[in-house]
Amino acid sequence: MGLLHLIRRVMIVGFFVFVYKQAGAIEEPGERLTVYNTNLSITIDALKIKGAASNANSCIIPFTLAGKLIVVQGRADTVQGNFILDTGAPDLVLNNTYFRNYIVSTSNTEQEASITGIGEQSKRITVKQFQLGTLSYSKTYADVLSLGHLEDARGLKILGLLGISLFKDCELMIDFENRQIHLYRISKKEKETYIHPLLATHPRVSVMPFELRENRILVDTKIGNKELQFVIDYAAESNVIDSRLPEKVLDSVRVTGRVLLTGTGSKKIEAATGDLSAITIGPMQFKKLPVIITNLENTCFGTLNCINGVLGHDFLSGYTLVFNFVTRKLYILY
Amino acid sequence: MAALIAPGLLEGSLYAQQGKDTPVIQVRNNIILLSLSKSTSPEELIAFTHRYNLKDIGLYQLINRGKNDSLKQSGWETIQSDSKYTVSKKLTSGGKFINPSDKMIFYAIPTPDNWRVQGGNRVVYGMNDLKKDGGPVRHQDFVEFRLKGFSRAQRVRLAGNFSNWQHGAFPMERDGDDWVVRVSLKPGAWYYKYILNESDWITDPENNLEESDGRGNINSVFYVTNKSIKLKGYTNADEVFISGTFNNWVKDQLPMRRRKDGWELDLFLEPGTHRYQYIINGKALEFEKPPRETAEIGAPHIFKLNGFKNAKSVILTGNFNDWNPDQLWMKPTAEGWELAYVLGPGNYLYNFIVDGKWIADPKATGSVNDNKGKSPQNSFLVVQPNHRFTLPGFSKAKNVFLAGDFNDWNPEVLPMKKIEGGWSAEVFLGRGKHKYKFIVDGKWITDPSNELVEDNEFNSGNSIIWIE
Repeated sequence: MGLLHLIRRVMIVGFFVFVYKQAGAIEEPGERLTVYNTNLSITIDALKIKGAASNANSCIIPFTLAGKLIVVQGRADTVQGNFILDTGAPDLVLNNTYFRNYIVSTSNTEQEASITGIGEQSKRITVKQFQLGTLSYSKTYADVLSLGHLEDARGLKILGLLGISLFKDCELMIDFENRQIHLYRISKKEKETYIHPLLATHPRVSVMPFELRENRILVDTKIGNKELQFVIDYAAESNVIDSRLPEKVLDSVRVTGRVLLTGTGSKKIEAATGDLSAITIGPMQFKKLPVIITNLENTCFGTLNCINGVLGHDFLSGYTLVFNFVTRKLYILY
Repeated sequence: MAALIAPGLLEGSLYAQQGKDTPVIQVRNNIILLSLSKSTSPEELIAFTHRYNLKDIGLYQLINRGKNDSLKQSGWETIQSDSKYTVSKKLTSGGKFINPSDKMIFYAIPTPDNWRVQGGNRVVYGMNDLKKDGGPVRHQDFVEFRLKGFSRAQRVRLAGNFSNWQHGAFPMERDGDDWVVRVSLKPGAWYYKYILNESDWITDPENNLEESDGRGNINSVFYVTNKSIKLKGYTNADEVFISGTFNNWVKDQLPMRRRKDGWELDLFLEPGTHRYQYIINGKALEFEKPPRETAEIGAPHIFKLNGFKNAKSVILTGNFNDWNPDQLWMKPTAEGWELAYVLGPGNYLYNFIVDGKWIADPKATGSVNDNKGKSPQNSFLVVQPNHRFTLPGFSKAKNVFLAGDFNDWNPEVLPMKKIEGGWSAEVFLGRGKHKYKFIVDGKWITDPSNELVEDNEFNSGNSIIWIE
């Protein structure tokens, strides 16, 4: 069987509609229902696909965790060290403690008042070369901000955050089990055909589209028959749901306690923790997802709609996720 | 009081499910809602407030005394009907997360797992929790690590923070079916794992104590202890615990082991002076004098105050004993007063209390005594300094002080010494990030020889330094 042919066949499998049948009582947080593939006649032959080779377009980067945040090594011009994968941030962010001596190309001088009145000034600079594994980025824009509070909270030197724009022409796989990130830069030629070798060999893969809005990853979800959009954010340690959602949605959340969260300017904000009894994400259903229930009023971006919730580490760390930013498809391996 | 919700909203489904008197918590329409029957029993109320983290908002005053002052103060509204209270609070937003790090901090629920990260890798105390006849065994000069039940492994190595993990991991030798290695370790907390066949990392199956390193790894923990606490008698007691300054006087955390003639507990305690007491069957054992026991780990520092020979009493007080004004009584000597007190490496603030009047140590260079009747400056003491700050130049300055997180940013307690070509001061810095500034003739400046500057709330920046 030719490689290309095989890949096409695997892609077909990936797009098949899955049917779900409820398994017995599932108590574990985030545990999923049993998934049945309707098209069992298609089997995947033993595959001999070469693993992703490390070259200028492809690499595997090991990661560690700081609390629940994913830490990888990167280099911005001459400074090398810890970067946090932040799929909730649109662009590369650099910590101004270590990147002060750059010429600012544009400056957001508008002091946007936050809840405590403390404004945040962001400056945009150009990094000559940014290196992530074997992938190089020339003349990359970066927002320079203070990340001092985050360093204090995590006890770790943090050079910056890796936002979505770095991955826009890539496939990004985040493998929690092996603590690895796989990055593959998809060329124009293979735009239609490329798929991660693992997606061909892995026995259980679910696929769904995602939307990129202002460089945030949004997926369609359903809670209590209501359609909602959630952001996938690896830098959010918890899953989050908006406390302003209709009763029909909040009926699915059993409150487990009150919690005080640290808002901007160190102000303590009252919120609740809870268990979401069931959520459908794309074609998959999950039971008992731990969530923070909080007011997401100020998380609206631009003129577009607000987000309804966030899928964070507490959900994401249980699976391997593959984002194809070219085809805007998300694969969940379970 | 404003009506909050449509009457009867809670009456229906939730009460039906949970019974009339069970308190209920839920979130509706951006409001966190508590519903409590007026006849909620004290036990039920305590259980409810503990379970849902509602201890400090004032529900006890409401149910026991019908008062809602505390609740009101913390922003909760109360409405009542004949049989129940409905307590509610509107949820506010965490702010605009313009800086993504604000979002990360906001979405993180603090868990005990990351305490070590927050505490900057400082271990104040610890006790072992090993399975019976298993785990590492401490001998006079070494600790023996023994791994049972992996006789089929080809090779086993012991990796830990004492071996730079895998880089200097100790090969283990076969001893029957076990694997054994002896390592010389000083008192302290040691984190380790076994590496089987160079590939599988496992924690010690005989050791119940495991801890996250804050980087996503779980390790076994073994404490080489440095304090053995023994209590004679009380053999009829059901249980005896130790509580002390090192564990914030938590009563039911450190159980003593029963011995033939009494009770025993081996602890690791960080250098310094620790006070503790025995909790016998839940009650603190009363001592006549001194009121509590003391454990001293390390060498003492001699505090001296010359003169004041006519004083009736001189007492030492500082941040090392929570500024207790009635604990550390100094002894008269030929020159004045003296007290030996054990302090671990660190930066401390202290005062003397002479016949009830607080004074700074006249010999401490950073003290400023004012005679205007105001409270005196604190004196500053560095025990076992490990870092020297230098400020080149400023030869014409009259005085230069150093201030940072290590001395609570006090601009007057840590003067720098004039040296050739500049100024210098020594402090103790724990692991992690430290922020500091120099004060040259009253003017705050960042360190001109350090390009790492972090933003601060005054828009003037702080110099930062990382201690690995």
